[in-house]
This record gives sequence, structure tokens and C-alpha cells, in this order.
Amino acid sequence: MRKSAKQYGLIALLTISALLCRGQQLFPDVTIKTIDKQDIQTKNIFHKNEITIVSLWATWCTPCQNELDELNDKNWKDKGIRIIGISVDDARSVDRVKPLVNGKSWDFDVFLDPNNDLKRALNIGPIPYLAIVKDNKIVYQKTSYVPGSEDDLLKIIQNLK
Amino acid sequence: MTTKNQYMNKLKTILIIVLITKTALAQNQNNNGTISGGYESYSEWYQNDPKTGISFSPSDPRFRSNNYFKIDYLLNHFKVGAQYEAYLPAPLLGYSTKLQEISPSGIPVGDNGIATYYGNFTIDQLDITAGYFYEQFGSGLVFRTWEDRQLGINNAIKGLRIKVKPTEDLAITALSGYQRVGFETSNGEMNGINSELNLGDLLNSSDLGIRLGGSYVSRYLSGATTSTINAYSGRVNVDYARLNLGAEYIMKDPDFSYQDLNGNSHHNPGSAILANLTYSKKGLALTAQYRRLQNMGFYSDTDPLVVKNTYNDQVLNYLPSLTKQHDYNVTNLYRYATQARVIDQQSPVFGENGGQIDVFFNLPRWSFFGGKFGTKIALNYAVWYNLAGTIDPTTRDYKISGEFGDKYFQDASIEIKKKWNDKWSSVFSYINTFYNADALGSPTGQGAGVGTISANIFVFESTHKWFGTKSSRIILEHLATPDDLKNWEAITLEHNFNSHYSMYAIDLYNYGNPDISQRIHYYNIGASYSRGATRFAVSYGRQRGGLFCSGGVCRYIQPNTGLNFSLVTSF
Repeated sequence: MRKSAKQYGLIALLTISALLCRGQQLFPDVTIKTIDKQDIQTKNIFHKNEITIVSLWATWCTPCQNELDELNDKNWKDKGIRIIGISVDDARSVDRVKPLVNGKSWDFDVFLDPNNDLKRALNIGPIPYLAIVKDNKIVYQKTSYVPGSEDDLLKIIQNLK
Repeated sequence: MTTKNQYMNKLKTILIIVLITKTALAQNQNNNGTISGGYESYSEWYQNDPKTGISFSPSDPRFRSNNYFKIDYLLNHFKVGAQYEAYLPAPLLGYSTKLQEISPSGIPVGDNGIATYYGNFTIDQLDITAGYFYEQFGSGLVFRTWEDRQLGINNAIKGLRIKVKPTEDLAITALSGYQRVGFETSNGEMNGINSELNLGDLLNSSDLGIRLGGSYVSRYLSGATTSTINAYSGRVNVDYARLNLGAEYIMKDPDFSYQDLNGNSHHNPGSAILANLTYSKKGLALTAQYRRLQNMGFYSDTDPLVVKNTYNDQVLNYLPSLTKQHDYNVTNLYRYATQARVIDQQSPVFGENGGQIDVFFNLPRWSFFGGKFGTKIALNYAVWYNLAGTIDPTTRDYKISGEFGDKYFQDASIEIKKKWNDKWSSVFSYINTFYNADALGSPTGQGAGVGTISANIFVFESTHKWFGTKSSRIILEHLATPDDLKNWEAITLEHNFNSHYSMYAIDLYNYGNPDISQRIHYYNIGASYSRGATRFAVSYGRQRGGLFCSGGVCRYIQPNTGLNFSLVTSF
């Protein structure tokens, strides 16, 4: 196909449009799996009126695990906030998820997205990815992890209330 | 590409722009449905580098860029979406040649257009998709289509897929179509059916759970030596209290297997066995995996050039290397890649047989070794062997004579993660690696005659939180080996100014290389800005050539030097 100024203009337009488009997004309803590999719809993993922090992570992603280690060390339950980890490990490493979760003594629910159906529906790039979800709506989302950013989440959630 | 297709692409492009405009205006208007999407862009400005011997001819595009724009529209039970991809002026180095065309003057020119699109209807227990879709049967050994932009894999099927759940415990998926190849589709036609049955309710036991699975996949290719290739998979998964046992067996019809040293093609049946056993409780868990593969390469074509392509084009199943996925610099020098097919060479390859064991445990808080914050420990041992066999010197046919031939690869590692206080945390890793370059090929691009490589790797990582989201990290790595390119070291410095701005510097140095002119610093400096779901990063550096692995699939990349930009956002 011939390259032309029009094509580069189109890419520029798409980029700007993507950066400008913002708003509340529904958390996609797709089939994922429980940590015991039973099918479950994502709409059924949330509790009504509960604020939930959702982290997409993998056993091979060190920053993701650092973030979840820190989230696990904080007491969210008393504040009425729930943590959910969704592993995007594929067949190579999905069998390491449950042992790793238990080995680390993580005290929150973990689900599996082995062929990345949820990750694709969220249209996100590389992990870590974190979203705050209320009533099946994504009210905040961020990519990448910086140590200490878990402390900011509480402030963000307090502003949402 | 034809003129008709060009008009189609322009039409689809206009549709995308309309959808974006609508997104900005109607994001919160639920009655009109919802639109979501994402954009990823990776670009590099390549430079000549006398150190690594990289020299671009004047006609070769120095600036290359991969761009992916995806948009989905959801209205009640209906969902439609499309992905526009642009590899302009040319795809990044190491990506499939199917993403570009060669102009009459011999210059590679990148392609662009609507690469995938779909329409989906879901209601209760029925899910129908037309267009491009991704699917996995079982562990993917018999069939998997997926997208990995880092590796340049997108082997989606274009066709029709129907999923039904006649009962709560039974799920059936049927599909038919052609595989995506660049911006076109394969000649080979795919058909498949998969079923999953959960016996949990029938067993009436809170401790015991059994799930069964079965798949049938076929590839039809007109004019091939064998036009129809069938593959079958049977699976069982048993949960009992804290134990989980999973097993899968796959049979595949005789298919193109290998091209011998004389250039003749051989066809052989394929088989695979995969088993895993897991025991886990809070604070302690272990898992063991075993796999045996023979002739399990499965493609939507039988052309030897397709089967041996290094871009993973037209692959129909997923054969990840079952080893620990390390993510440091020196730990990725000697990585194992799955050996799924026969290679007629001086040290012939017949398949693979091996496994790995993982142990995870947590030394609890306030215990003797746990300290105030506890200590997390992960152990891994992986070992992989060739199947024992011989190749007939006349016919070049092969014969398997035993289960365990030469050792391909071994990896033993321990990782200790310790949080000292609210400010300091550290990770210590030790890895002992064995790599058989005679059978597997040289991972550092040294050609034949490297022999076997034994290496000891030490990694120390420490992070200090200053205050808020201001933090610094240092990683020190060392690889010691008397073999191949001898010793390597690496240092990484990273500083996060706050949750938005970060910068880093890395230097990977082959300081032990016997050829002093090849003692090259593979340096990289970069900075990034993140806000919400948007991340922009820029970096400059020199990338070593060799085996690049992501998600268990590997490809060879050539060394390169240049300026990189990336932008990722979703909405």
C-alpha cells in the first residue's frame, strides 16, 4: 500500500482522539476463570455498592507483584474496600498462580484471564494495570506501578465518596 | 493489495473517525451504548553502530513505527469492534515481513489498514462471533489464537464462532475460518470444536471436583500432501482438598515434520503429554509440571518456509517453554525455547521431554527469619531433555529409541524477597543455568561450535521509598561462565520522581568477552510519563541481538541502536 501524508495524518488524528477521549467506562463483561479454573462472568465478581480495586497482574511481572504485596499489607476491609487480582498468565505460567498466591499468603480474591479476553476487552497495553470499580463502572484507572502509589489510592477513593 | 481493498480500508477508516468523534460526545450516554478503545504506538529511529556492526543502506527506512488502534462499541447484547494497524514507514526490525511490501526499487514499505474486525451477539447461554476472534482450547497445546504485540503475534481466526452452555456444567465451542496472515488470511481452513464438562455437582462432594475436556481441530489445505490434518485433545482436571491434578493428551495426524539435510520433506504424526500437580495452603505451595512433545508444530500451512519461519506466523497452537520467566538483563541471555519438531542437524533434535518444580513459601511476620514484615521465598527447578533417537544415514528418517536423550537445558533458582522496613525492600536471586548450544543453537548469535554453557547468576535489587511516591531502585547483576562469551554484568538505576515521572539507566556489559573489541556496553537510558491509563516513554540505547522471549514464545532479533518512543493509552 502506498504511504502518503494522508496516512500519517490519520495516525496523528487517531492518536489525538485517543488521548482526548475520556469518561466513565463500563467494566467489560467477559468470561474469566476462578483461581480453580471454573468459568465466571466478570459482572459476577463485584459486589453491589462496594468499591473494588482491580489489579491485572502476572506471575512473571515483578512490579505487579510488588504492588499487590503492598496492597495486601494494608487493611482495606475496614474501609469497605475490596481488592481483586486478575492474573493474565497464559498456559505457560497459569498453573503457578494459585501456588504463588498461597505462598505469598495474599488475602484477596484472585481470578484468571488465561487467553487475555478481559485484557483485550479493556483495551490496555502492558501490565501492571489497576482500576477502581464501583457499580461495574471504572471510575479510575492507571498503568504502571511506582512504589508508594498505593497510598494515593485511598485519597482517590475518598474523593470518589 | 487491490484498488477495491484500498477503498474498503478508506471506508473503514472513515467509520473509525466517526466512532471516535461519537466517543468524545457520547461517552456517558448509556442509551446509545458505550464505546471503548485503546491506542499503542512503538517507534524507533535506528542508527548505524560500528560497535555492533549495524549499518543501514541509504534506502533502508531508519525510522520505523508500529501503531495499533482498537475500538469497541457495545449496545445491549451486541458488540462490534475493529483494529487499525499501521506499520509506517516500515515495521520495527524483527517483525514479520508479511507486514510490509517490497517496492519495485527494493525498499521495504510498511502496510496499514483495518487488520481485524468483529461483531458479537451474546444472550444468556449463547455467544456468537463473526469476523476475527481469539480462542484457546484447553492449555492451547492443540489450538490457541492470541495477540502479542511485543512479539508481533496476531494469529486470529477470521470466520464464525459459536459458544453454547446447554447446562450450567457443560460448555461447547465450535469455530470455522481462516487464519490472519499479515493483512490477509491463510490458504488453510480451520475447523474446531471444544467441550468442557464440570462434574462438580454430580459428585456431591465439597472436597472433590472433576472437570473433563475434549477438543477436535482440523486444518484443510487444498493441494497439500495430506489435505486434512486432524488433531485431538483429551483433558482431565481433579481437585481434592489442597491438591490439584491436571493431565492432557494430544494426538495429531501425520503432518509436515522436517526437511532433512538433503532437502527432502518428512511427514510424521505428532503427540503431546502435559501433566501438572499442585499442592497449596496459606504460606506454602508447590507445583510440578511435566511435558513431552513430538512433532507438535501445527500451522495453517505446510510450506517448510512457513513452518520454519522465525516470526511465529501462521502458528495454530501454543507451545510455551515451561521454565521460570526471569525478567532481569543477564537472566535472559540463556533462555530455553520449546523444541517441538525434528531438526536434522549434527546434533539432531527429536522433540522434548522434561518439566519444572516451583516452591513458594512465606516466612511469617515475627518468626525468627520472617522479621517484622515476613520474607517471601520462591524456588524453581526446570530440566529439559531431547528424546533419544537416531537418523538413518540413507533415508534420513528418524527413529525414537528412548525417552531421555541429551540434556537441553537446566535452570535452578532461588529468589528471596525481603521488606526491611517501611522504606527499604530488597530482592536477592541466584540462578544456576545449563544450556546445550549444540542442540539448541547459540542464543548469543555465535553460530556453531559453542558447545554447552554453564553459568551462575547473582542478582541483587533494592528499593528505597523516600516519601510519597518518590523512590529509587538499584539492580546489580552478574553472570559468570567459562563458556561462550564469558562473563557479563549489568547495573540498573531507576528513580521515580512521583507517580507520573520516572527515569532509568541500564548498562549491560560483556566485560569477559575474549575478543576485546566485542566487550560492548549495551546501555539504555529512558524516561516515562504516566497519567491514568496513558503512558509515554522515550529511551535511547543499544539492544543486544539474540533470543527475545515473551510469554513463553521466542524469536531471534538482530542487535540495534537507536531512539525509541512509545505511547499507550486506553479510553
